[in-house]
Amino acid sequence: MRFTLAIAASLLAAADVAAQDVDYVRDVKPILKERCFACHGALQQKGKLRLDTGEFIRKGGRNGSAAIPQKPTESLLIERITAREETERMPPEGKPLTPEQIAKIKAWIAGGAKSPATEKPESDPREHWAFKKPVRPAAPRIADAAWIKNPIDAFISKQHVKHGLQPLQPADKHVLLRRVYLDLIGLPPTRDALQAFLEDASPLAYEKVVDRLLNSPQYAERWARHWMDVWRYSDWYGRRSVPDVLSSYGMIWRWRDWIVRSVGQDKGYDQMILEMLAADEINPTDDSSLVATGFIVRNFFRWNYNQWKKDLVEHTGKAFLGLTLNCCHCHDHKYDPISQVEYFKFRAFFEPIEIRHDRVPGEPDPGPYPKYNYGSSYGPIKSGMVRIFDADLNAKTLMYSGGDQRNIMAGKPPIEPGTPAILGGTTDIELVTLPAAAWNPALKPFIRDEETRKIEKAIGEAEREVTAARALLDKSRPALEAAVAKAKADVGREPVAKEKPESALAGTQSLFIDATQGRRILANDLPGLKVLPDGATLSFKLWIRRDAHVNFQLARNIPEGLTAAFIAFEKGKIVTYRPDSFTEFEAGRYDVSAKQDRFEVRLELQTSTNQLLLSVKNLADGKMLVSKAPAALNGWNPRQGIFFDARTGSSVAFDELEVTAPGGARLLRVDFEPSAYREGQDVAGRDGWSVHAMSLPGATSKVSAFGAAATSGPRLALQQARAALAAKELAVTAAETKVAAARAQLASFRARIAAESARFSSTNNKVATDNLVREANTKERQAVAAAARGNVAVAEAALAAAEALAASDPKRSTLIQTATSSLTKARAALTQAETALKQPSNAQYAALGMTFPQKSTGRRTALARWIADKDNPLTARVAVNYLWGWHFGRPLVDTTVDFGRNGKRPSHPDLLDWLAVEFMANGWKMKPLHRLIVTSNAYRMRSSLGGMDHPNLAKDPDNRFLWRFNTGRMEAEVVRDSVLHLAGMLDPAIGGPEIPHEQGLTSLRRSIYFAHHGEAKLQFLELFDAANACDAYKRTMSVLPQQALAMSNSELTLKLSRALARKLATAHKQDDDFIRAAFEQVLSRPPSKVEASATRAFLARQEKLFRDSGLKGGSTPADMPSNDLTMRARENLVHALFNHSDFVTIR
Amino acid sequence: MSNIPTRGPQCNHIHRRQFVSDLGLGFAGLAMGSMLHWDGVGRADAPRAHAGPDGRPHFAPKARSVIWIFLSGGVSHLETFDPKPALNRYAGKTYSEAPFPNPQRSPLFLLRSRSVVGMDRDLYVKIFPLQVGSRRYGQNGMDVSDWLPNLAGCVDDIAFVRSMYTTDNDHAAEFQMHHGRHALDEKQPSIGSWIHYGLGTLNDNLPKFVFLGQYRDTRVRENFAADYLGPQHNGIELSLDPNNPLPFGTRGRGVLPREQQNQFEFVNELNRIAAAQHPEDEQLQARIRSYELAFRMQRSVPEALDLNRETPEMHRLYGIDNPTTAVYGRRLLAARRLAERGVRFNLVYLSDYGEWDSHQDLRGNHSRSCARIDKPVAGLLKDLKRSGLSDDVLVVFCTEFGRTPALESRAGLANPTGRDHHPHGFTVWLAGAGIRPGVIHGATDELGFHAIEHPHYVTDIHATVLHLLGLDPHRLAIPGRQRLEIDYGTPIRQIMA
Repeated sequence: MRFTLAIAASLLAAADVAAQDVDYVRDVKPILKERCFACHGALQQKGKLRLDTGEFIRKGGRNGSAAIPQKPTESLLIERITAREETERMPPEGKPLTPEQIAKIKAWIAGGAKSPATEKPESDPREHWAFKKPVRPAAPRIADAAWIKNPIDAFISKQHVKHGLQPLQPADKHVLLRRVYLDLIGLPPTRDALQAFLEDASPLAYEKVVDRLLNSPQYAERWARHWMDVWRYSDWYGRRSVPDVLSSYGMIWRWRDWIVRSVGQDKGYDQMILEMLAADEINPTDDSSLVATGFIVRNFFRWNYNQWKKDLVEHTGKAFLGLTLNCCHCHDHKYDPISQVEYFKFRAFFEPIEIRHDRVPGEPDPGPYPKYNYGSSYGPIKSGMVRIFDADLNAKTLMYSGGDQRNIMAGKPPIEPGTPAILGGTTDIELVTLPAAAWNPALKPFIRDEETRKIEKAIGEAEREVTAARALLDKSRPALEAAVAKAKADVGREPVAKEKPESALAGTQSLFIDATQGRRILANDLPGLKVLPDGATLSFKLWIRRDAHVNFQLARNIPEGLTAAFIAFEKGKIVTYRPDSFTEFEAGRYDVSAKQDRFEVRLELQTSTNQLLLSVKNLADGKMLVSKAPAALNGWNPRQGIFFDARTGSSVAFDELEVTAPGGARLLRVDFEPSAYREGQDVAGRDGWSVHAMSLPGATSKVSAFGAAATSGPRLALQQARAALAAKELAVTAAETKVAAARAQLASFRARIAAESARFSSTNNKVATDNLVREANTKERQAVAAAARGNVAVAEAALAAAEALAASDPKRSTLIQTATSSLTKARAALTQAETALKQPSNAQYAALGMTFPQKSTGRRTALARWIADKDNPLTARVAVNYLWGWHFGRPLVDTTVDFGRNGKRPSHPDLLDWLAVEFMANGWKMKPLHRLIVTSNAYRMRSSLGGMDHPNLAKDPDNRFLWRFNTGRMEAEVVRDSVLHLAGMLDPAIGGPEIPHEQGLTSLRRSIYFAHHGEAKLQFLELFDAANACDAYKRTMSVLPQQALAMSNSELTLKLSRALARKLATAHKQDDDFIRAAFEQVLSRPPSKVEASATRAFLARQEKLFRDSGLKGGSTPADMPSNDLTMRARENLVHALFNHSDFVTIR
Repeated sequence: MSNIPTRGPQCNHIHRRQFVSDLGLGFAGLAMGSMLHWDGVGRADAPRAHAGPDGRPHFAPKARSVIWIFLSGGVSHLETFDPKPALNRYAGKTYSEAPFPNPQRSPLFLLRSRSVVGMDRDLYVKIFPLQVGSRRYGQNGMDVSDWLPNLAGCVDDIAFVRSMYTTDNDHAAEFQMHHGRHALDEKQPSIGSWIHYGLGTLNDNLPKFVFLGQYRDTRVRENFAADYLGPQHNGIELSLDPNNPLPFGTRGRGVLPREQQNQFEFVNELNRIAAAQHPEDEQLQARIRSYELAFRMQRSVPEALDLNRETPEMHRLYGIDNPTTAVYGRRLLAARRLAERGVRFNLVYLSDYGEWDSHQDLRGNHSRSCARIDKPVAGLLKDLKRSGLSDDVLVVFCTEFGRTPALESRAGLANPTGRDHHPHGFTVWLAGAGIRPGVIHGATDELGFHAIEHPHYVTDIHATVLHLLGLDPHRLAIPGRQRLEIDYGTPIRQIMA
């Protein structure tokens, strides 16, 4: 209710505005300027209407006069700003004009729509100062020539004179020294440096200091950090707790190190821009330059590439050009003559980009850049480098509306790259042909060398292993052989069993299948066996040790367990299929109790009639139980394989599986004899054998000389003794095969290099290349087979070693099982590799690494050259404005990222232009400019007034015209680094991966090296206004109680204060000496008399307190306060000085 | 407007400016520069043309402090405060089979869902029945889930807004709830930071904006970040760990209390000597004040967070005697003690990060989470009401978005039992100072899909809170930092007393 009344009241008030109370310039024009000029002013004249002078308003546009004097209700202006329909109402964006505003405009028209005759229209945007190329102005002639140290002072002095300001005296030497130290290297002078400077009477003492500082590595770190603010340096972030990289990227610290390096070398700023935007095109094989594209990587946003490119446009515009290009993402710029189309033209420079990881010397391969899959997380890469390249040379830039990528403007052709016309210049985009090493990085020599060294190292290791295994074998052989002999003798002394002694079915070993429990189905796909001719024979021997059901099948499909032909021995019956059917019939009988338990089974294949002739001979008496009985073949051929299937309750042995051609030539023989088959081992995984999935657990199959695996007694002992010997022998074999495998790998690697080099060489000889490619293919297959052989040998050795263990060893059975399982896998791989080896060579081989497009669009090079061109009106001005701001605490143009028409005007336009031209004339080098600035008189003035009654204060309270130096505060990094430095603990190491925040209070490295990103900041630094990694153009300078707490209570300041106090105390025994030394070290100045006496009193107060508290003295742990009264008080003093406002203050 | 009432002996422990008077200093001798804020915080680089707010409300406030309860991960409005019988009736049917307009065909669907990853979330279509029963409570017959029996008893003191929507269909909606911007747009200061910026302090010994809670995901800090207002307006994280309640707020190991106090005094003495030499140095003046405030905070924060000063009955009221509710009960009781002492904005994170995100097993997850908050939140409301603090303290209970009426049946889910993120409709409620109690405002459609009656974007909650505190967000805007009209929001007058 109250609210409604309020509105009614304001409406009433609005209606009351009388014409005579309204002044056009005071009341009306500001409203129009704020809400209307953007579309109806110098920049644009929508509907051919301008509203930036009274005359224009009265004259009107396409629809006639906007304001008819004395007739507000008939005036179009009023009609449009009061329209009820939102589509009709002006302005089209934002809230409607308020009733008060409307009333004022109405009243003005009612009063005759008068405007001053002298009124000037808005100036032409092309005339805006910052859009015109800077020209070096002549340094002003100044009466007070004594004050002028260099041209900078002339420009500054000109404003002093103009505004009647008297510049302050030069600062005291110690103030100046601390100022320039903190400014140039971000660290205060130590007491020694201070004294040396104070004692240097030479007229160039200061200049010497400046040169030394500018050439120190600390200068590079300090000023790199400034530029990192502008270039929005950020380590990767997104979801660090997962971890999941969404923004920026792992290893981007290499870009940070590039910045430090470039600043330190005083690389030209134009060159820095070129490298950051386009190193991949201008220095495509120089890793130390490629990392500069971190500028582009930093804006990366994995979830949305549109956002990535949007950020790139905005921050390229802000950082280098001082242009707010983000505004024209959605509509033509409101203040600057930049259209929405020009926005998308600018974006088109970045359209083809993508990220890639490259390997660097001495580090593991970071692998290919993973394409994003929603819902997966991607941790940071931990090696190599991240960089930019043009991935899609035909990428199209499509315009969309409302800043929403979903609203593609239908019918608009793709936008071509281009720069805002108002800034002039040209961009010639030339396609860049990249050298091979750039798009096929695996060709880089260091990668070959490192890979070769890695393989050679493996060869060396394997060779040493062979030597060691041989030595061990030689040493232990006599004992092992003796053990075997003894075990053999023990077996011989065993009492003869009642039943017939078990032995192999044929030869010394057979395949025993025990399915007393479960079911065992062994399959064999008969590798290498071709289609059999008519009349070929397949035979095997079978021993039924427990009669239940066992069958042999010619398989139709092994994986699915389908059969073609079938011969079963089931409880006395021999069963098979009738020809051309799957119908069983009894082909014969046997009687186990009558010693009919060992048979020879022969199948004569009659492929022409699709039959087999089955014969079964009883081995004990040679009697034929079945003789050439016709049975179904059902179209079998050998590639489909065979099954042995022992069903539950049965126990059988097989041996001498043979396939012979009609003439008797042996095509296949499996006899399970040593050394191909070893006592106690399963056959699965070798020579085509596998255990079928339809087997049931509990059943076993293994090759043995005995009827069953021994579980105890002399036979087990013999088995173990043999295994122990075999283990040592196999260890040698394993090591030897490893050597062979590593050598084959080296040969393969070399062959692949030769093939790749030939393929990508400029002199391409097709025949020679084809040969090399095929050679690479062969060598690669050989390497795979050699590696597989190695794996089989290693697994065999492991199995033998496991079997040699005592039966009581609890780990024995598990180890045997594990080894058997790896052996099975290794053998399967070997079979595959050997099969592959038999194939003819082809053109396939594993590429050495990823390849990328062989060309780059050249778009970013063109953009960078246009930005870094001496004719660009903005680039140099924006850069020197930053430099000036960092030296003086305030830039010449307050709006560092907006040099457009809505930005602030420079305080010293001629100085800004002079500096910009000077900067470019010096090859865009910063150090000459630093030197000029810090040696100017303007820089050396006092900051302190010593009172509030200085006459300048009334004329220029904000010191806009630099009649004194600005008092400042240390930036976050400087606070932390300075404490470390003064305590003598700062670690001078330069560069490297970002340091995690967890080490914030313990690491002694410079603050620039801590992880700094959009997700979180190091707490200590954040409290002192560390840069916002996402909006880093300007730092705040707050005064917070949390800063006081951090300085007072943090482990860092406490520990370092104590360290410094203890160090100072060794040279300064007397309190007065100590006090002076502490003040000079921490605050770079001696204490005043008042301060000294207050300090003495404080030391006395603390000592008394400690005495009263019962402090005992004695030794002190390094991280605790001293136990000595005097020392503890001195620690307090140093700590208090770090907490002194003067410590963080720059005067 | 009543003053913050004193509530028994515990308040007598606050000795305002005791430290200063101990030193015989006080503020009289220290001229405050015009750019320095109330609480000793100065912005040296603030453009002079823009002096910043003076700390006084723009108009008569109805509330002095806020307890802002946030539940992370997305609370199902359907299983808490906005149950829809239609979901049971049409369970198993698709949206197009139910006798309502298909909500996914509504123009609102694309309008209120903007995906960061450039694709719309899977369109789940099969209606999932309510996973819990509900009953009607209070004079308006407010439907509340059976999982919230204690809060159900408080509905007559609460104003529910059942028609909230946001636009991010993923968890950046959490930060959007606090600063009002979609993840693809430029960030803005959080709501707590605007209040910190706009209002002066009520207690010289405590921060104005605190965060109470725990999180592993550091992005949670976006919820109390001041962004371009500067770090002095960030929320300060307080911990209920008595050994470290305030960052750097505990004396170093082995440092004696008196030793530190002497040192503080000495620093102050040196700074005052410097101030006499540099009378024009406004930063120095501010730093002297900030040191005094720091020392006061270091003393006052542990007292304010010492829950042992509360009675056993109070502990029971907040569920601190029960392990299920103890953690959040303690957090809310601490928030009440801070609000009572004048902390302006208390952001209480009443869940783990993403705790409510029930893509699967919504029944299990929500019933467990409801049980953890029901008693403590109801306890807070009862405590504020009976102590009269509800005249001064505004409580906001919110989450990032609701959950889909449909079953989330993403590929590979053997037994789907949850709901997906749902920016199109959810419930937020407010209670206490300036709020009309017992109001049910706004509504979602029959399926609980779209907010259709009185729809409110999240910044309407910001506008409501600012309005009740007497602030006009337009008057807080910073020159050069463009805010959109939607950033300001509109106060929800229907729920205001």
